[in-house]
Amino acid sequence: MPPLGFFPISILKPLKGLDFELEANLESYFNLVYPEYELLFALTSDSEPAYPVAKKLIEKYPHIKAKILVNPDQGSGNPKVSNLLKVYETATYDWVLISDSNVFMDRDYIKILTRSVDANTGVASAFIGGFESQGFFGNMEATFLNGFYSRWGLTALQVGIPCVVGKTMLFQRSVANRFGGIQSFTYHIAEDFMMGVAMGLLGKKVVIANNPVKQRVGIVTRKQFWDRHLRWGRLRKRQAPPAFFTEILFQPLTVSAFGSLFLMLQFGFHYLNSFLAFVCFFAVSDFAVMKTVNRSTSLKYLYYWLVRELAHYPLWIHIALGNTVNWRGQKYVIEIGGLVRTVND
Amino acid sequence: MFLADFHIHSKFSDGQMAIPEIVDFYGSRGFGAIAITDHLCELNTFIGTAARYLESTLTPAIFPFYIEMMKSEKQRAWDQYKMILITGVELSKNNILNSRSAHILGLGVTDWISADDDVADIARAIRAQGALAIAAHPVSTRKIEKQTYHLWDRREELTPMIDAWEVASGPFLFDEVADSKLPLIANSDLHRPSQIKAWKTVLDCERHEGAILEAIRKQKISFKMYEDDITNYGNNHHRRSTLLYRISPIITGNLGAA
Ligand SMILES: [Zn+2]
Ligand SMILES: [Zn+2]
Repeated sequence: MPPLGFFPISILKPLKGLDFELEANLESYFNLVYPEYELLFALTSDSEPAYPVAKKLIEKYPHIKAKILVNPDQGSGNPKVSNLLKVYETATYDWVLISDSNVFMDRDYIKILTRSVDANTGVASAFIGGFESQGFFGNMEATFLNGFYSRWGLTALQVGIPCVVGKTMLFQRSVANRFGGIQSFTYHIAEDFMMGVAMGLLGKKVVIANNPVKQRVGIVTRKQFWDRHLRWGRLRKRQAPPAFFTEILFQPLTVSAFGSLFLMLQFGFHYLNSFLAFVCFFAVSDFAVMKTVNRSTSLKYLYYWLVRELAHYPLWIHIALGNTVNWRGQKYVIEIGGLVRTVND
Repeated sequence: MFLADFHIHSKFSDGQMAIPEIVDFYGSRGFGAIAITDHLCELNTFIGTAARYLESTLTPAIFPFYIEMMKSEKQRAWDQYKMILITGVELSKNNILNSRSAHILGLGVTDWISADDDVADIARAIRAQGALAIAAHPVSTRKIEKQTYHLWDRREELTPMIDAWEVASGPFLFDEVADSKLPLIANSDLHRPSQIKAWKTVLDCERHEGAILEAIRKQKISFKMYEDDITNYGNNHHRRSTLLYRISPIITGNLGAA
């Protein structure tokens, strides 16, 4: 099917807190090369640190259609969805792009993204690439995004199962409204996953753009790193338990350990040698993936790769042990199927 | 007079077609009414848990999407084809024993019903919503597959709670049900386009959900074997996309929210 060509887009940006390089990230949206778009910033309060940043940029770029909408009514479900409801209703155009605050847009990104859209597309999304990471946990974060998540994302794409990533979701409101719009994701922790599922149930396609979107990682604390991956992991676990519980078997170090054991028992290979050969093979292939996502990935990431692979086991156990997550200062319980509710300590 | 089919599965459970595809499939064939009845399995049993992981059942997490999609497709089915689309579910109790297995259709159901209760309670819950409780394939389906005899075994007790019993499922007519003097209905139990060759119910009433449900209650209906050549339909696209849809969450999990 041929691409749809040009269509005007409302870009919805939920803002919360002060991300690394927020101003530069937001400014990148004012410099997009695209014939017609508007920017709608969603905030829960005008005392949010992002408010003055967005305001300043709107004044700096008067020729760009942009607006801030403050919506203090936040429900007890998915905070990102609650924050978005008002801008979603207010958007001028049928096509909306939900794009997270910590994303940096290359000037021609929308053009590239829309190229993958045709008449049968339900939602267009993109991988996340971790860029400009700093410090130990910043680099670990980039390795998690560009290694682990990209590895599984690319594998899924290869076998024909594209996964929607919430950092970038481009879709038509008129189509989403056929299953209740984004309001229907209010009590789902993974609005992106459900978007893909719902579009599939409608008989529509999920497409993934060729280029990853840039997330500027910056400095990440140990707690931020652990909390985020605990949250994403528990979300994977509750959304698709069989996938989560078998995932540990397909980790590079697990496969290396059992693969070399098999080679030793079956063919008498030297255990340690074949173990190292396995690990090298996985490191090189993951490094290739990381390099594809972010061209500036250097060899030092092999070290972070190894640490991350080792850290995956305690993290996996921690994920397995509970169903609650901390998200934006609030504690949530995730039910099977990804439904979420707040809990008070 | 118009043709109707009140037992159809979509991608929300184990059917091959998406709801909009089903609407177009039946609408373009001139049907006057259809009900989409996806499986809603017991969730507290081992088989139910497996069904949930295989995404072959409605769950509380996905049910609101089902209802919303049915609402919007209901309007389109009417505007485009003058066809009535009824929201249904197939409450499914699957046990290793056929004598403990039962499938009950709820035609016109819009609120969640748990399939974990006893069949009599399920039938009552369906009717409490103003919907019809239908005994799906209550006797041997004449196919090599899992059978569901529980409702038939308890038919004397359940008669007051069940609005109709399937006298035909797919291309097979059930003599024992036909001879039983119970209220009847005939449906496809369609999962794939090719299963359109099946017994159907014929109605002669106003094209309106209430009138249709009333015609079934009052048994102002007849049955017809529907022949249709669909060799060009049901191509590989359907088979492939359904399979992938079903295994996708198992393989990939989720890439995570922000
Ligand atoms: Zn059945
Ligand atoms: Zn059925």
